[in-house]
Amino acid sequence: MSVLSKLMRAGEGKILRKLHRIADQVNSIEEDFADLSDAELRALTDEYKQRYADGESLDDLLPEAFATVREAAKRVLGQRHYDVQIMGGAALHMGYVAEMKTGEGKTLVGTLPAYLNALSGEGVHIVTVNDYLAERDSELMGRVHKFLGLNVGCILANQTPAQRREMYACDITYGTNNEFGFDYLRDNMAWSKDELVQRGHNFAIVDEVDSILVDEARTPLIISGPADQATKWYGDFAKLVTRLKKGEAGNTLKGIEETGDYEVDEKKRTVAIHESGVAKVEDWLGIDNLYESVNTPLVGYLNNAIKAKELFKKDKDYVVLDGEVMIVDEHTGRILAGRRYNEGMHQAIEAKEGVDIKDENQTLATITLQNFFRLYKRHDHDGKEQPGLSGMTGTAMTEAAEFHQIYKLGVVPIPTNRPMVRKDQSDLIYRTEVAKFEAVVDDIEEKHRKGQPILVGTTSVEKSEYLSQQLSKRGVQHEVLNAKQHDREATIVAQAGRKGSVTVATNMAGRGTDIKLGGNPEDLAEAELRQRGLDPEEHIEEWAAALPAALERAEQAVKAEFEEVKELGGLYVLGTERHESRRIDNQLRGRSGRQGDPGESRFYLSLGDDLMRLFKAQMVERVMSMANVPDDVPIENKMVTRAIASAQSQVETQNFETRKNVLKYDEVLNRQREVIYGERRRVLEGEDLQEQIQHFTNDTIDAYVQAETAEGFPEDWDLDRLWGAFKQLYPVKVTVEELEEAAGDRAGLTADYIAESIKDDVREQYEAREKQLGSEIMRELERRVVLSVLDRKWREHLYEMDYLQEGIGLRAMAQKDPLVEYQREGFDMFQAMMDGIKEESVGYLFNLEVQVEQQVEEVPVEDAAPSLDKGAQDAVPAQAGARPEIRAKGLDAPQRRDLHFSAPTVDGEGGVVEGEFTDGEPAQAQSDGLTRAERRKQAKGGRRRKK
Amino acid sequence: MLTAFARAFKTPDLRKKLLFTLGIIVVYRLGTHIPIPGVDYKNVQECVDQASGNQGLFGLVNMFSGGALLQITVFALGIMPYITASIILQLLTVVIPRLEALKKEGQAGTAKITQYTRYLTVALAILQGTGLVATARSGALFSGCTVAGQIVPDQAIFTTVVMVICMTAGTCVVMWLGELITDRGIGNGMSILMFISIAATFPSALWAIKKQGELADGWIEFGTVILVGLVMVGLVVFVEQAQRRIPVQYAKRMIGRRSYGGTSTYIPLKVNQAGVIPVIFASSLLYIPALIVQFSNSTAGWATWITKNLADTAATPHIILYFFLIVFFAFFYVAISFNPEEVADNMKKYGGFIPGIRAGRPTAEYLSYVLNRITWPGSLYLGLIALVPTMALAGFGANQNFPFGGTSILIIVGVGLETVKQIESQLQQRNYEGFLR
Repeated sequence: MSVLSKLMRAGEGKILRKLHRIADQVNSIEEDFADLSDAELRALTDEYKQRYADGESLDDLLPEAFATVREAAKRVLGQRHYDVQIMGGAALHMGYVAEMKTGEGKTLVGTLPAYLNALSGEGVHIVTVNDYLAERDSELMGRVHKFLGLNVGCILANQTPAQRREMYACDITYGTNNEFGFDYLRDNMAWSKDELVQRGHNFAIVDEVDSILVDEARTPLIISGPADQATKWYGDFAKLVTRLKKGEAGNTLKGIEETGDYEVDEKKRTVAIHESGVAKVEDWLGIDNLYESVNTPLVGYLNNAIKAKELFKKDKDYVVLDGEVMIVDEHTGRILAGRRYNEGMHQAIEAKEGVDIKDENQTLATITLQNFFRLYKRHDHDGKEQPGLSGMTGTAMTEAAEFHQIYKLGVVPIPTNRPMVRKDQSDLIYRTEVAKFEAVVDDIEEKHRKGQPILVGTTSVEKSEYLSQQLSKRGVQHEVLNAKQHDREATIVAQAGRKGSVTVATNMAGRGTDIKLGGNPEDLAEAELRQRGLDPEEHIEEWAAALPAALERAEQAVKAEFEEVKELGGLYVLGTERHESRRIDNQLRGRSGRQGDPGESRFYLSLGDDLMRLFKAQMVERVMSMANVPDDVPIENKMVTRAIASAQSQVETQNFETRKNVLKYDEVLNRQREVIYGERRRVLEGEDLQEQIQHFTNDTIDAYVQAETAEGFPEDWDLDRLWGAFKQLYPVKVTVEELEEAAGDRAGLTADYIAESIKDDVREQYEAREKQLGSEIMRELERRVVLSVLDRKWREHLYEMDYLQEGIGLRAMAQKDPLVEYQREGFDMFQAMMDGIKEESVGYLFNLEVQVEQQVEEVPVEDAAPSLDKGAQDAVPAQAGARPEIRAKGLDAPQRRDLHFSAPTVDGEGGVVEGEFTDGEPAQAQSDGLTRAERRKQAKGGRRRKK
Repeated sequence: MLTAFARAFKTPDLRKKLLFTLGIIVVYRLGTHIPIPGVDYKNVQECVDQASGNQGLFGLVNMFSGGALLQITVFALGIMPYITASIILQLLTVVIPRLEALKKEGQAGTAKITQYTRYLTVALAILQGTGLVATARSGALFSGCTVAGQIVPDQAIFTTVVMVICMTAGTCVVMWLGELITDRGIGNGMSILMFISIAATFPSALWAIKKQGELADGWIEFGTVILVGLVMVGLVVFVEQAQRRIPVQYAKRMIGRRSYGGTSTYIPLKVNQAGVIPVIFASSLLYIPALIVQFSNSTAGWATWITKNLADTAATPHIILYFFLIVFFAFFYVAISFNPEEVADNMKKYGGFIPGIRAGRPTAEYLSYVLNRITWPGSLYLGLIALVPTMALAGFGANQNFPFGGTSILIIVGVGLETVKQIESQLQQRNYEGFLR
């Protein structure tokens, strides 16, 4: 790896020189733009667009476009891009990850390549970490683009599809990775072309790219819907496990007997029940053998119940609010409202907490962020594909190898505008956590007395509150920034750099929070303007006019304080624990020392920290026993320092491996997804299905005949069974006798002959049906049938693949590579799904007829969905809206009804119409007591189910 | 199999991988023909020619190095040190708790074990290299060759050290080549190199049989051997593919009230779970007495007995002992490589179980019961396959490096099957087709 990173660094100098050249170019033409009037500046956009259309490449336009944006930003925001920012922008345009230190104005950098790439009209997505930033940036930075005549959109969690479509149609769209990803998945669940919101994936600038592509990439995006009612077992097992005792694992080799009823592995987050536990459970449930095949679900409930009891801690992993269990983000401590753990875990926790147990979910669609972002591709004039992904962050170099391996992204460290002068002090290590926090409080008190602003980073809500208590005891005035103070986040951050302020924060104060010494003049200025009743969106002109003055006043106000704080040594960042990766530590440190300001940082660690406890338990014990150091004296020991570094790197590599592994397996599913979504899009966009249905029918009949006639002579073939199968498929008219007669006798029959005759028969039936329904209806029916079968089959396939993956590791027992086995069996399952889609589509198409005659009008539409899925009900009105021309003829409703009712013949589930995310039905959305956003969030359920 | 290759060559990135693998193989084969400095190449050739048909002690090792050992080339040691090192580490993992902990740690731990394997490989390479150079210097490498004494004309220490360093470096390069194939080519690099080494000796071995044969210029023997070989390959493929599938269910199977997953989750227990390793163990163990005799140069009673009964691969005591050792090691190795306790424990942790059998100890007991029963036929089969060359010696008078027997055929078939499967699965990945046309 080190060789690899060195190799990659070899090209760095060259790239930097190139970036410098670009910055010089932009500088040399800057003056030409300064003299232009606002209108002239705006007119340039159209000129560039024209030149692009005439065949100039974006690279050719780069210097002028950048100079234009620079001038616009100067006029609108009062901020002129520094040279290093120009370099960063150019790096982004070239598809690199630009590493820029905190406070270098990454957001401003993004405006440059965004503008340039928007010129092609294909859309630019700027991906932010959270909704707040998306909204803020789209508003603030959007002003520049709007000034230049581009339109800017922003995707937020609570928007309707119509709003989203509008936003995506903009030249530049801001939003979070989840929004973009989920919209993509939703588009691939859409029921008509009109429901699509996204318009391709051209160019994405990912802010905090390491967080999104590295930290969050581990867990896939999942859209799921309610599957089944939860059973009573959850409650039973929750009660049951309270009577079981936790114990230690045994080891037969060492002759250690297992103790207690079950064991817990915190590191791997697994639990395992012991023999005594099994015996007790069997006894209480009154069954002979828990592990009989029929009891399979019970084992799952039991495991989940134990996990809920031991591995999921209240107020750390989740909180209970208003009788609802809500997941807490492990990194930031934010509450993820509406998200649910998967696979019954959430229900188990609900049972443990004694709140209402909600329905179980099933996955409807899923993709990892890794694969989603690989979709971004730019096309140049020759139609050649270029990667369309770029990103910026303060900390990427440590992960350069990963970016390169997985995303083929190079990392370029952009120099800082002014040299960095932050002092990073060496770590202080204490024996116990209590002693550590004592020392932390002492240090805070001392620095606070001087008036130096302090930012304290903690790893969990719990710890931030503990520290806050300790500080209160000493009478230190402070602010706590954790998920519970969510709403005040901006205010707290804006004040954090002021003299004498102490801010205790969770990881929320890591990325993206810009703490300005002496306070944030922009915030102050903005607050002032808003007070005067101005809105930057509505009154662009006035805002631009008033801003400089207000800004100046605010700047005056903070300037004195800024100087004072600077004298005191700038912001002091105090870390109380090492994080999972060096990057997160560096992010915290990076809050201080922005743009050449002075600053200081120090980490306080203890042997009792989670990281040490989980990964270096033996070493900790050894040091503890050596222990002639009193608690309150920091340990000065090379071994300890090394152990901490190694624990951290162990976690880092472990996580990297997990991510790589997820990717390897996901690769298989990704190929399948590409095919399925591609086909689905074709159906959606009005591919002529008549011919395809012919193929389906022929393939299915061939397969049927083949299966029955593969062995033996014609006399041995069980033609009755074959005909039985045909009857399931379509109303077969030809009989065995007729065929025998035509062929002379039984022995004269051949497989080909049977197949051909049946195919002729089907064709006749098909034509009869088309005549009966009318060809337009027939086409629409075909489209609906294929889509619904496809969706259901794909959903089941997702499960099958998931289950396959679960057990594939066992193949290693026969010295087989599990991945290869997964690929092989995954392929077979995919083929089986394809055959299934063909067969069932044909079956539905023919058998719906019978239903039409039986089910007459009186069944209300809502009740017409006996499906497992509530989403289906939402879909119905939307359906009607989607194809008005059919409804006008009065044929739409029975047709839909058929889709639902025809099902029981197959498997009791029916052609479920998915449509949770259909368009323009706010009334419907209200009716089930949830807003769209809530339902959508629910659908995200459990994407953070495991570490 | 051939169609798979043909199709693979039509897929650009697979073609690149295949060509890369072929390129590495060429480099490897080249290396096996470059003599190390300090060796008189002419004399070596003469001795090899004289000795053909009687490679004695180094037979097995020579086979693994693709004939490079006796040529004393830079890749003389080949991958043998690496194989030995990995076997040793695998055995140690059972014994040393720290290694066991590393193994359980997952990827990071495995990487560390691989690193240890590499270090051990270097150590073993130095050891084996020294041994080889020493025997070559003393002329013991080709006992009975007229110019055996002049293989290494310069007996200075410096030359000897250079020779050992060259061989060790050669082994490291081979190791690297193997890893390159694993990373960027197709299949498991080490296995492929082993496959190539063994396959490389086939033509000459077959030709030797033809030359030795008497019926119709030896063509009849030649034909018969090939025919027997094909039958053997068929048999080995059949048994190697045979496995007992123990069904496993995961709690995850149930989503709400619906159950998913067909029969796709199972523990496969192969009939020949131990693979080729018991044969290697057994033959290595049987070489030791002969080796002692040779070095001691003793003519005492025990020495002659050993030479007559154990060193001679056609002697009945040797055959019987060999067979029983293989059966023993088959059980031994299965016991080491497949730990029912661990498997049961892991299944338990991830919510899996064998239907009808309680998790934990009962599962472990059930697994070892099945494993024992299935290893019986497996070990007998292994013993018989390993004895094929000996029988061929008796039947045809073919030399003991009869190409279709024992270890070589097991390795060839095993690696071949695995590699073709991998190519096929990669092909499948690129050939996903939708339902629309």
